[in-house]
Amino acid sequence: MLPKPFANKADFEITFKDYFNPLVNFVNRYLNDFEDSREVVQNTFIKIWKQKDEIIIKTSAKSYLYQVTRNTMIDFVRNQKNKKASDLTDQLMASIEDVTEEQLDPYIVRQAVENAMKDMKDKSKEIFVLNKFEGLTYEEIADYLNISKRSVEDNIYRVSQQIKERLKNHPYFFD
Amino acid sequence: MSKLDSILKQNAEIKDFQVYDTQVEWDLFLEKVENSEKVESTKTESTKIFTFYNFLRSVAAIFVLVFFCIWTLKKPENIRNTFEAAAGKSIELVDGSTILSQGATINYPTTFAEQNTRTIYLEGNATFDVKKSILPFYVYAGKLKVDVIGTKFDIVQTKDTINIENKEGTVKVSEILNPKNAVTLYQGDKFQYINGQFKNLNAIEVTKDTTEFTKKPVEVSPEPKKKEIKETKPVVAETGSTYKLGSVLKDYILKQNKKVVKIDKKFKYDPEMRVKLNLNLPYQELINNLKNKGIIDTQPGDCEGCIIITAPKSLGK
Repeated sequence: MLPKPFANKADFEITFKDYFNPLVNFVNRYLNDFEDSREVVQNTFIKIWKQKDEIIIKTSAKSYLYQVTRNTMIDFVRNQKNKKASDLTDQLMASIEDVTEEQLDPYIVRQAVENAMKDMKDKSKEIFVLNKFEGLTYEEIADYLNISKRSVEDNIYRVSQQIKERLKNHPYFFD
Repeated sequence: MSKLDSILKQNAEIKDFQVYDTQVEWDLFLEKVENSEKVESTKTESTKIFTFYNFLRSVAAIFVLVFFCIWTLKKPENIRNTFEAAAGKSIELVDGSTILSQGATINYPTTFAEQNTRTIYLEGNATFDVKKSILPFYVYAGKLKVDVIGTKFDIVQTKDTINIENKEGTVKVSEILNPKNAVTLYQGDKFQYINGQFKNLNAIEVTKDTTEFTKKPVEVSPEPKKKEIKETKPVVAETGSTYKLGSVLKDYILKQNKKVVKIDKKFKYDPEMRVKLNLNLPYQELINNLKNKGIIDTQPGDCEGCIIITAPKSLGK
């Protein structure tokens, strides 16, 4: 269920917690530094908080968050540029200016999957992540973790079922 | 392909996905917001309130600290023992792990019930033989914390140095006060911790000259790792020395350049393989060097200037 965006503190908290990790990881794709990315996302939410009584959001919460995050990222990079001249910063700025909202989607999806996997055992999760996110084959995983290929298959099947079950009502997946 | 699979496929380009504790982040956010709101209110009022809250916070903090001290001091009484032993004496932990003293004082838990870790405090020298278990095994020796992923290793401590030799398995050693200052020892690796830095004793083929290190103060600074590698340069630069591939990739190239270099998980290299390199060179040249020798290959990474180290083309993958 997508939250109401920013009306009051309780709603704001829900939105914050739902989007924090996807946004940090999305920003990190460009800044390539998790600490900087956290700072950008914190600043994004602070900006929104300060205006929350005046905001009238005509698009979705997601779009709004995306826009403010993108602007905060640009400010951050510009600020860095003032401190140190570098070609890297120019290239980075160019790639951020090309970014679109759709590029945030995979991070939201990934967060939902991470949430679905939260209570699972580390080993089961690792097997699933190695195959689905890191692209290793069943043989490679069996080899890497020193277990049978059959264990890998069973594990992936079980985790997939659990995730499907938990994501059943998530609007992103099953609209 | 199932719907879940097609969704996950779109996700495949995300490599490191970090999951932060959102409650912690939310609390931090509120703190920042509240602080900035306080600054905006009238100065005299906010100063008074701030001072009063500060006072309350200090009192609360002192209570918590005292309570915590009492609680932690109370707790180990029944479950930890200290064993002072001359060389040759050994103790066996309840999980079957053994610690053979080579002249040591060992503080250890007598039971692992209701414990999250198996933690040992070591003064002096000892040999460890650690049984595999769900509970992680840590040894605190001087300024270092040893994280045991493997099984057999030695710790030798003098006034100024701590030597660790790993005989079997994998061991991760870090500075307690600065966990980012860490090394991983594979089977057969031997490291020395001196003056805040780790020295790879396997790698150095020139006579050990520690005068390079004595002037460097032990700092906890934003970039201690980069300073470290500059200090070690003079020692290894004289020869194009031989190193283990595992150390070169993980401890030098990857660790020093975490932001831009990654190693492809599918790339199964032999960490014991010996390579002759001049570690004085910048990492890009080291990587090219390894490429030219046919030991690795590279692919561009996700970001500008990023590199992924992969298996060499000659292996056909």
